[in-house]
Amino acid sequence: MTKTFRVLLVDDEEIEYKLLTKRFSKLAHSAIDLVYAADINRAVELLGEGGFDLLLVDNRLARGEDFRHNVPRLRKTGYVGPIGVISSDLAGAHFDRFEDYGADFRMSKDELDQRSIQFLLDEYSSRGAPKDLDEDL
Amino acid sequence: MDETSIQNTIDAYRLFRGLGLHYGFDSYAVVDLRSIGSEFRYKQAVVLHALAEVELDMVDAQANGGEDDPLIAGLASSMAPFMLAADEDGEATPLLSVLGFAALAAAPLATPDGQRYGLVMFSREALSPPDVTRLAALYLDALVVFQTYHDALLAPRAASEFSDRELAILRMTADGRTSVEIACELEVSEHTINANIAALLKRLQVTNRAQMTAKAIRTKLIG
Repeated sequence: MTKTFRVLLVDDEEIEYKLLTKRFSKLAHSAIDLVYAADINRAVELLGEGGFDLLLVDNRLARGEDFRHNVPRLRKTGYVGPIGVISSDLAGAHFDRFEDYGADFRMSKDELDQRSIQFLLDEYSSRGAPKDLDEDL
Repeated sequence: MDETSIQNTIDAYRLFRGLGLHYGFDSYAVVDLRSIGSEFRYKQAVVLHALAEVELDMVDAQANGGEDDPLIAGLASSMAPFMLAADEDGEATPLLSVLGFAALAAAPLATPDGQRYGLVMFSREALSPPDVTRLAALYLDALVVFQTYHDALLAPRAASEFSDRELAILRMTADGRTSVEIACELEVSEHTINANIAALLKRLQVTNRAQMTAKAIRTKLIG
Protein backbone atom coordinates (compact mmCIF):
# COMPACT_ATOMS: atom_id res chain seq x y z
CA MET A 1 0.00 0.00 0.00
CA THR A 2 1.33 3.45 -0.89
CA LYS A 3 1.96 5.61 2.15
CA THR A 4 0.91 9.25 2.03
CA PHE A 5 3.40 11.74 3.49
CA ARG A 6 2.31 15.18 4.68
CA VAL A 7 4.87 17.78 3.63
CA LEU A 8 4.75 21.49 4.50
CA LEU A 9 6.29 23.88 1.98
CA VAL A 10 7.15 27.34 3.34
CA ASP A 11 7.89 29.66 0.43
CA ASP A 12 6.80 33.18 -0.41
CA GLU A 13 6.57 32.29 -4.12
CA GLU A 14 3.35 30.36 -4.67
CA ILE A 15 4.58 29.24 -8.07
CA GLU A 16 7.05 26.99 -6.25
CA TYR A 17 4.10 25.27 -4.57
CA LYS A 18 2.47 24.69 -7.93
CA LEU A 19 5.71 23.38 -9.44
CA LEU A 20 6.38 20.96 -6.58
CA THR A 21 2.76 19.80 -6.50
CA LYS A 22 3.09 18.83 -10.16
CA ARG A 23 6.52 17.25 -9.69
CA PHE A 24 5.55 15.21 -6.62
CA SER A 25 2.32 13.98 -8.18
CA LYS A 26 4.36 11.63 -10.37
CA LEU A 27 6.03 9.67 -7.56
CA ALA A 28 5.83 5.93 -8.18
CA HIS A 29 6.21 4.58 -4.64
CA SER A 30 4.80 7.25 -2.32
CA ALA A 31 2.07 9.85 -2.24
CA ILE A 32 2.56 13.38 -0.95
CA ASP A 33 0.00 15.72 0.55
CA LEU A 34 1.79 19.04 -0.01
CA VAL A 35 0.56 21.84 2.26
CA TYR A 36 1.54 25.43 1.56
CA ALA A 37 2.48 28.33 3.83
CA ALA A 38 3.49 31.66 2.31
CA ASP A 39 5.22 32.96 5.42
CA ILE A 40 6.68 31.81 8.69
CA ASN A 41 3.70 32.88 10.78
CA ARG A 42 1.35 30.71 8.73
CA ALA A 43 3.85 27.84 8.97
CA VAL A 44 3.89 28.13 12.77
CA GLU A 45 0.08 28.06 12.78
CA LEU A 46 -0.03 24.96 10.61
CA LEU A 47 2.58 23.18 12.73
CA GLY A 48 0.20 23.62 15.66
CA GLU A 49 -2.17 21.27 13.86
CA GLY A 50 0.54 18.57 13.82
CA GLY A 51 0.94 15.63 11.47
CA PHE A 52 3.74 16.82 9.20
CA ASP A 53 6.38 14.30 8.07
CA LEU A 54 8.73 16.83 6.47
CA LEU A 55 9.18 20.61 6.17
CA LEU A 56 10.73 22.29 3.14
CA VAL A 57 11.63 25.89 3.95
CA ASP A 58 12.76 28.42 1.39
CA ASN A 59 15.99 30.00 2.54
CA ARG A 60 14.82 33.58 2.29
CA LEU A 61 11.20 34.54 2.82
CA ALA A 62 9.53 37.85 2.00
CA ARG A 63 10.60 39.69 5.14
CA GLY A 64 14.22 39.03 4.23
CA GLU A 65 15.18 36.79 7.12
CA ASP A 66 16.97 33.62 6.07
CA PHE A 67 16.98 30.06 7.43
CA ARG A 68 19.18 31.04 10.36
CA HIS A 69 16.21 32.92 11.77
CA ASN A 70 13.33 30.89 10.38
CA VAL A 71 14.34 27.31 11.20
CA PRO A 72 14.90 28.00 14.93
CA ARG A 73 11.50 29.72 14.96
CA LEU A 74 9.88 26.58 13.56
CA ARG A 75 11.75 24.40 16.08
CA LYS A 76 10.40 26.50 18.94
CA THR A 77 6.95 25.11 18.14
CA GLY A 78 8.24 21.72 19.37
CA TYR A 79 8.36 20.19 15.90
CA VAL A 80 11.05 17.47 15.91
CA GLY A 81 10.55 16.12 12.39
CA PRO A 82 13.00 16.81 9.55
CA ILE A 83 13.41 20.31 8.13
CA GLY A 84 15.14 20.97 4.82
CA VAL A 85 16.36 24.35 3.64
CA ILE A 86 15.71 24.84 -0.07
CA SER A 87 17.07 27.61 -2.23
CA SER A 88 17.83 28.49 -5.81
CA ASP A 89 21.39 29.22 -4.75
CA LEU A 90 23.21 27.38 -1.96
CA ALA A 91 26.41 29.38 -2.25
CA GLY A 92 27.69 30.87 0.99
CA ALA A 93 29.60 29.45 3.91
CA HIS A 94 26.61 29.82 6.22
CA PHE A 95 24.85 27.01 4.35
CA ASP A 96 27.53 24.62 5.63
CA ARG A 97 26.28 25.34 9.16
CA PHE A 98 22.65 24.38 8.53
CA GLU A 99 22.74 21.76 11.29
CA ASP A 100 23.68 24.41 13.86
CA TYR A 101 20.35 26.11 13.20
CA GLY A 102 18.24 22.97 13.57
CA ALA A 103 17.91 22.07 9.89
CA ASP A 104 18.46 18.50 8.68
CA PHE A 105 19.57 19.17 5.15
CA ARG A 106 19.94 21.74 2.37
CA MET A 107 18.98 21.20 -1.22
CA SER A 108 18.73 23.42 -4.27
CA LYS A 109 15.29 23.73 -5.83
CA ASP A 110 16.62 22.23 -9.05
CA GLU A 111 17.76 19.12 -7.19
CA LEU A 112 14.36 18.55 -5.62
CA ASP A 113 13.10 16.11 -8.25
CA GLN A 114 11.17 12.86 -7.90
CA ARG A 115 14.25 10.79 -7.07
CA SER A 116 15.40 13.26 -4.43
CA ILE A 117 12.05 13.60 -2.65
CA GLN A 118 11.73 9.80 -2.61
CA PHE A 119 15.20 9.56 -1.08
CA LEU A 120 14.25 12.11 1.59
CA LEU A 121 11.02 10.30 2.44
CA ASP A 122 12.88 6.99 2.71
CA GLU A 123 15.69 8.53 4.75
CA TYR A 124 13.32 9.99 7.31
CA SER A 125 10.89 7.09 7.51
CA SER A 126 11.75 3.52 6.59
CA ARG A 127 15.50 3.84 7.09
CA GLY A 128 14.74 5.82 10.26
CA ALA A 129 16.61 4.98 13.42
CA PRO A 130 18.73 1.86 13.69
CA LYS A 131 17.18 -0.95 15.74
CA ASP A 132 19.82 -0.63 18.46
CA LEU A 133 18.43 2.79 19.35
CA ASP A 134 15.47 1.34 21.27
CA GLU A 135 14.71 3.70 24.12
CA ASP A 136 14.11 0.87 26.60
CA LEU A 137 17.56 -0.62 26.36
CA MET B 1 26.01 20.61 -6.64
CA ASP B 2 28.36 23.57 -6.50
CA GLU B 3 29.69 23.20 -3.01
CA THR B 4 31.65 20.10 -2.06
CA SER B 5 31.46 19.95 1.71
CA ILE B 6 29.56 16.99 3.10
CA GLN B 7 27.86 17.45 6.47
CA ASN B 8 25.60 14.40 6.40
CA THR B 9 24.10 11.62 4.29
CA ILE B 10 21.83 13.99 2.35
CA ASP B 11 24.83 16.04 1.24
CA ALA B 12 26.56 12.83 0.13
CA TYR B 13 23.42 11.81 -1.77
CA ARG B 14 23.46 15.19 -3.53
CA LEU B 15 27.12 14.95 -4.46
CA PHE B 16 26.79 11.52 -6.13
CA ARG B 17 23.48 12.51 -7.74
CA GLY B 18 25.09 15.62 -9.20
CA LEU B 19 27.92 13.49 -10.57
CA GLY B 20 25.47 11.11 -12.26
CA LEU B 21 23.35 13.87 -13.77
CA HIS B 22 26.48 15.57 -15.09
CA TYR B 23 27.29 12.45 -17.09
CA GLY B 24 23.68 11.89 -18.19
CA PHE B 25 22.77 9.05 -15.82
CA ASP B 26 19.35 8.72 -14.23
CA SER B 27 20.22 7.15 -10.91
CA TYR B 28 23.01 5.58 -8.88
CA ALA B 29 23.93 3.26 -6.03
CA VAL B 30 27.05 3.00 -3.86
CA VAL B 31 27.58 -0.64 -2.88
CA ASP B 32 29.60 -1.87 0.08
CA LEU B 33 31.26 -5.06 -1.19
CA ARG B 34 32.22 -6.53 2.18
CA SER B 35 29.14 -8.73 2.38
CA ILE B 36 29.55 -10.58 -0.92
CA GLY B 37 28.51 -14.20 -0.61
CA SER B 38 25.41 -16.28 -0.18
CA GLU B 39 23.91 -13.81 2.27
CA PHE B 40 24.40 -10.81 -0.02
CA ARG B 41 21.40 -8.50 -0.13
CA TYR B 42 21.33 -5.21 -2.03
CA LYS B 43 19.12 -3.68 0.69
CA GLN B 44 21.98 -4.09 3.18
CA ALA B 45 24.93 -3.62 0.84
CA VAL B 46 23.79 -0.42 -0.84
CA VAL B 47 24.92 2.35 1.49
CA LEU B 48 23.77 5.30 -0.58
CA HIS B 49 21.51 5.49 -3.59
CA ALA B 50 18.99 7.39 -5.65
CA LEU B 51 16.53 4.51 -5.80
CA ALA B 52 13.38 3.89 -3.79
CA GLU B 53 13.78 1.49 -0.85
CA VAL B 54 11.00 -0.63 -2.29
CA GLU B 55 13.02 -0.99 -5.52
CA LEU B 56 15.88 -2.58 -3.57
CA ASP B 57 13.39 -4.99 -1.99
CA MET B 58 12.22 -5.91 -5.48
CA VAL B 59 15.81 -6.53 -6.62
CA ASP B 60 16.59 -8.74 -3.61
CA ALA B 61 13.48 -10.78 -4.29
CA GLN B 62 14.96 -11.61 -7.73
CA ALA B 63 18.66 -11.78 -6.85
CA ASN B 64 20.48 -14.94 -5.97
CA GLY B 65 23.46 -13.79 -3.94
CA GLY B 66 26.23 -11.53 -5.14
CA GLU B 67 28.54 -14.13 -6.64
CA ASP B 68 26.17 -14.98 -9.50
CA ASP B 69 25.56 -11.34 -10.27
CA PRO B 70 27.88 -10.09 -13.06
CA LEU B 71 27.77 -6.58 -11.61
CA ILE B 72 28.92 -7.61 -8.16
CA ALA B 73 31.39 -10.15 -9.56
CA GLY B 74 32.86 -7.44 -11.81
CA LEU B 75 33.16 -4.90 -9.01
CA ALA B 76 34.79 -7.47 -6.74
CA SER B 77 37.34 -8.75 -9.24
CA SER B 78 38.34 -5.63 -11.18
CA MET B 79 39.92 -2.27 -10.52
CA ALA B 80 38.79 -0.86 -13.87
CA PRO B 81 35.38 0.68 -14.65
CA PHE B 82 33.06 -1.23 -16.94
CA MET B 83 29.59 -1.11 -18.49
CA LEU B 84 26.76 -3.62 -18.57
CA ALA B 85 23.68 -3.60 -20.76
CA ALA B 86 20.35 -5.25 -20.07
CA ASP B 87 19.89 -8.39 -22.13
CA GLU B 88 16.65 -9.83 -23.41
CA ASP B 89 16.71 -12.62 -20.85
CA GLY B 90 17.18 -10.15 -18.02
CA GLU B 91 20.28 -12.01 -16.84
CA ALA B 92 22.81 -9.16 -16.91
CA THR B 93 22.10 -8.15 -13.32
CA PRO B 94 18.83 -7.92 -11.40
CA LEU B 95 19.48 -4.21 -10.87
CA LEU B 96 18.86 -3.67 -14.58
CA SER B 97 16.16 -6.22 -15.26
CA VAL B 98 14.05 -5.45 -12.18
CA LEU B 99 14.42 -1.68 -12.19
CA GLY B 100 13.95 -1.27 -15.92
CA PHE B 101 17.23 0.50 -16.74
CA ALA B 102 18.85 -0.11 -20.11
CA ALA B 103 22.49 -0.01 -19.00
CA LEU B 104 24.87 0.85 -16.22
CA ALA B 105 28.41 2.04 -15.69
CA ALA B 106 30.24 0.60 -12.69
CA ALA B 107 33.34 1.93 -10.95
CA PRO B 108 35.27 -0.15 -8.39
CA LEU B 109 36.37 1.98 -5.42
CA ALA B 110 38.39 1.41 -2.29
CA THR B 111 39.02 3.21 0.98
CA PRO B 112 42.62 3.85 2.15
CA ASP B 113 42.31 0.88 4.52
CA GLY B 114 41.33 -1.44 1.68
CA GLN B 115 37.56 -1.70 2.06
CA ARG B 116 36.00 -2.30 -1.35
CA TYR B 117 33.02 -0.34 -2.64
CA GLY B 118 31.44 0.12 -6.04
CA LEU B 119 29.67 3.07 -7.64
CA VAL B 120 26.95 2.06 -10.09
CA MET B 121 25.37 4.62 -12.42
CA PHE B 122 22.11 3.68 -14.16
CA SER B 123 20.85 4.83 -17.52
CA ARG B 124 17.44 4.45 -19.11
CA GLU B 125 19.12 4.83 -22.49
CA ALA B 126 21.51 2.29 -24.02
CA LEU B 127 25.20 3.17 -23.63
CA SER B 128 26.43 1.40 -26.76
CA PRO B 129 28.81 1.76 -28.31
CA PRO B 130 30.75 2.16 -25.09
CA ASP B 131 32.29 5.62 -24.85
CA VAL B 132 35.65 4.83 -23.23
CA THR B 133 36.70 8.47 -22.88
CA ARG B 134 33.48 9.37 -21.09
CA LEU B 135 33.76 6.31 -18.87
CA ALA B 136 37.33 7.25 -17.92
CA ALA B 137 36.27 10.82 -17.08
CA LEU B 138 33.38 9.53 -14.99
CA TYR B 139 35.73 7.19 -13.14
CA LEU B 140 38.20 9.95 -12.29
CA ASP B 141 35.41 12.18 -10.99
CA ALA B 142 33.92 9.23 -9.08
CA LEU B 143 37.26 8.71 -7.32
CA VAL B 144 37.27 12.35 -6.18
CA VAL B 145 33.65 12.27 -5.01
CA PHE B 146 34.17 8.97 -3.18
CA GLN B 147 37.27 10.36 -1.45
CA THR B 148 35.19 13.34 -0.25
CA TYR B 149 32.43 10.99 0.93
CA HIS B 150 34.94 8.76 2.69
CA ASP B 151 36.68 11.61 4.48
CA ALA B 152 33.39 13.13 5.65
CA LEU B 153 31.33 10.11 6.61
CA LEU B 154 33.12 6.78 6.29
CA ALA B 155 36.50 7.44 7.90
CA PRO B 156 36.56 6.84 11.66
CA ARG B 157 36.91 10.00 13.71
CA ALA B 158 39.57 10.38 16.37
CA ALA B 159 38.44 8.73 19.61
CA SER B 160 38.92 11.92 21.57
CA GLU B 161 36.87 14.20 19.30
CA PHE B 162 33.38 14.84 20.62
CA SER B 163 31.31 17.86 19.63
CA ASP B 164 29.40 19.99 22.13
CA ARG B 165 26.18 18.54 20.77
CA GLU B 166 27.41 14.95 21.24
CA LEU B 167 28.41 15.65 24.83
CA ALA B 168 25.03 17.28 25.50
CA ILE B 169 23.28 14.22 24.06
CA LEU B 170 25.39 11.92 26.24
CA ARG B 171 24.52 13.93 29.36
CA MET B 172 20.79 14.04 28.58
CA THR B 173 20.70 10.34 27.72
CA ALA B 174 22.38 9.62 31.04
CA ASP B 175 19.54 11.61 32.66
CA GLY B 176 17.10 9.16 31.09
CA ARG B 177 15.69 11.50 28.45
CA THR B 178 14.29 10.17 25.19
CA SER B 179 15.37 11.22 21.69
CA VAL B 180 12.25 13.37 21.27
CA GLU B 181 12.88 15.12 24.60
CA ILE B 182 16.51 15.77 23.66
CA ALA B 183 15.46 17.00 20.20
CA CYS B 184 13.01 19.49 21.76
CA GLU B 185 15.68 20.71 24.17
CA LEU B 186 18.36 21.16 21.50
CA GLU B 187 15.86 22.41 18.86
CA VAL B 188 16.86 19.86 16.24
CA SER B 189 15.05 16.88 14.73
CA GLU B 190 14.61 13.49 16.36
CA HIS B 191 16.38 12.06 13.32
CA THR B 192 19.44 14.21 14.06
CA ILE B 193 19.52 12.99 17.67
CA ASN B 194 19.18 9.35 16.61
CA ALA B 195 21.92 9.77 13.99
CA ASN B 196 24.20 11.27 16.64
CA ILE B 197 23.44 8.43 19.06
CA ALA B 198 24.04 5.81 16.37
CA ALA B 199 27.43 7.41 15.67
CA LEU B 200 28.24 7.54 19.40
CA LEU B 201 27.38 3.85 19.83
CA LYS B 202 29.79 3.02 17.01
CA ARG B 203 32.58 5.24 18.29
CA LEU B 204 32.28 4.03 21.88
CA GLN B 205 32.01 0.42 20.64
CA VAL B 206 28.84 -0.33 22.56
CA THR B 207 25.44 -1.59 21.43
CA ASN B 208 22.79 0.31 23.36
CA ARG B 209 22.08 3.51 25.29
CA ALA B 210 22.70 2.00 28.73
CA GLN B 211 26.16 0.79 27.71
CA MET B 212 26.83 4.13 26.03
CA THR B 213 26.01 6.03 29.22
CA ALA B 214 28.09 3.67 31.38
CA LYS B 215 31.10 3.97 29.09
CA ALA B 216 30.78 7.76 28.84
CA ILE B 217 30.84 8.02 32.65
CA ARG B 218 33.62 5.44 33.05
CA THR B 219 35.85 7.23 30.55
CA LYS B 220 34.96 10.62 32.11
CA LEU B 221 33.39 12.02 28.95
CA ILE B 222 30.55 13.13 31.21
CA GLY B 223 30.56 13.60 34.97
